[in-house]
Amino acid sequence: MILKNIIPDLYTFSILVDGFCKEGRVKEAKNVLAMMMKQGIKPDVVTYSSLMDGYCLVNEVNKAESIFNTMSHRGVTANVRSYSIMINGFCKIKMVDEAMKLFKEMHRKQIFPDVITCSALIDGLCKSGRISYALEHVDEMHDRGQQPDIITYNSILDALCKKTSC
Amino acid sequence: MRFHLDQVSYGTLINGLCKVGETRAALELLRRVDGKLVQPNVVMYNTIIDSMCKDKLVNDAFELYSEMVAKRISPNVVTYSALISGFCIVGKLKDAIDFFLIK
Repeated sequence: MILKNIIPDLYTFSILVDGFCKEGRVKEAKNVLAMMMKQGIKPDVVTYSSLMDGYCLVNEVNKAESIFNTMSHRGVTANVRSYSIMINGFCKIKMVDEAMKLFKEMHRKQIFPDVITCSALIDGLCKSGRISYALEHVDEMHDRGQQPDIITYNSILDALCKKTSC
Repeated sequence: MRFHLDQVSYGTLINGLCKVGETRAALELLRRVDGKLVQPNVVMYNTIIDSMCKDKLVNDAFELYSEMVAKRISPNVVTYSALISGFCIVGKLKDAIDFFLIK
């Protein structure tokens, strides 16, 4: 592509960043980001979110958080996907309170959680033994007319099974 | 009123078929119009290549890319982005990078 003088755009770069991140190759993803910025192409919420997802995948949630903050400092507004990634990241390293904080922040900013956001939080709550809170969130989903999916129910089922076995 | 469908109308039809998941039918339509009704253009090829990539049919997409190059229809940034995305989706990151840098 580059050899043929076809200039990659924001989408091409974002696709590559995402590709590297999904394989956990965050360092290379950062190189792509540097390359795009050198060409004067500003990363958008999709690019930043992919990078955050990559850091979460390799358990460097603090770095994902720093990208999340950098993004808003650069005037790029976080969307439901960015929040879901951070909430999932925090939940996976058992920082459920941080995840809850972000969930409340979404509500304040009127960014509506989707089934992915809720499932991430519910899984975090379940794995930290806060099943009643998790069930409350399932009720809230129903109240919003949102249907929990197989992933949501699996988290709940897992937590309930583990609870009765002890 | 009699009129003939042009490149834009066939492009729209191909896009519509791809959007409802009928990538094969879109390809058939391309084959049917090719050289007889209208000349296929980069947009028609891009639409089908992108749809194939999303369906993880990256080899088929690559074949179609080779076909358009052979027909001297120049691929553009959209063609490349679709293929790079396809390679990433099926975990062929090396091919994605090759495509980005060289091909």
